[in-house]
Amino acid sequence: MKMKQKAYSKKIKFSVFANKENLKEIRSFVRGQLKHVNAADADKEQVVLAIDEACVNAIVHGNNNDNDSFFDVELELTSEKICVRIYDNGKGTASYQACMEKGIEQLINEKSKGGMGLKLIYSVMDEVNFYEKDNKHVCSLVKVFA
Amino acid sequence: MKINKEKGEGYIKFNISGDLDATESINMDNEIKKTLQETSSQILIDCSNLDYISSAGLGVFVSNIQDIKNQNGTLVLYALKESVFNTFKVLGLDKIIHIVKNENEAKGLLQKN
Repeated sequence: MKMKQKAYSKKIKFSVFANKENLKEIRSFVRGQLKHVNAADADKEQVVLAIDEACVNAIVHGNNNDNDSFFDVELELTSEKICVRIYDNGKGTASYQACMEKGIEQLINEKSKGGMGLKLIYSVMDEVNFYEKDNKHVCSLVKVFA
Repeated sequence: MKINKEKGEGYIKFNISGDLDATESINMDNEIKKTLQETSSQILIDCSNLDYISSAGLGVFVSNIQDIKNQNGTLVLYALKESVFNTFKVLGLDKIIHIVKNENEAKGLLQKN
């Protein structure tokens, strides 16, 4: 008898206090969830990186480093892709053009420590969107596993 | 994250372990700046125990390259794990920052510069 294998699908939502000290734990949690996905380790680690960068943005820009505030992370995992939504208290959007405006050489000349987080996110994820929903700023990321 | 600093002949070697992320990058940045001011601009970074780097970690190196060059110094990273190297590669930093396989190659670059 042939049995059809049930496709993997999982949706998780959690709230995190807006403290950079929590980043390592978030990365560890995401890595744990990605263990169930059949994708290359390099792809999974890029997802971890993008989520880490998006969480830093939520903490620093979205919640102004207010350690008593929190932001929400939503993961929708299937065998083929991961959809991530990060809800923070910020306003405005970060466009692709704005974040790519300055090249790496310019950042070096300016001795800049920042300006690379969004570049990384846009480089490693397949879809990146920012929008407002229910008075929250949402960073939406999608990675399709080949 | 742990940062060990060791003095060699004409260079300073750092051995960094753990995660170089938004929380930890400030300590590494302070160590590099202190080294540039007080001892040497020839800097080797042993990354064999570095498990993860984020943009904040990349920012430590990007923001100090100019000062290292201005002091006729060299920054060389070596023994990067694949996932760490990939993060440099995504932004093309592997073409800008000296990244080599091992300590011998890293020391060779110091001698050339």
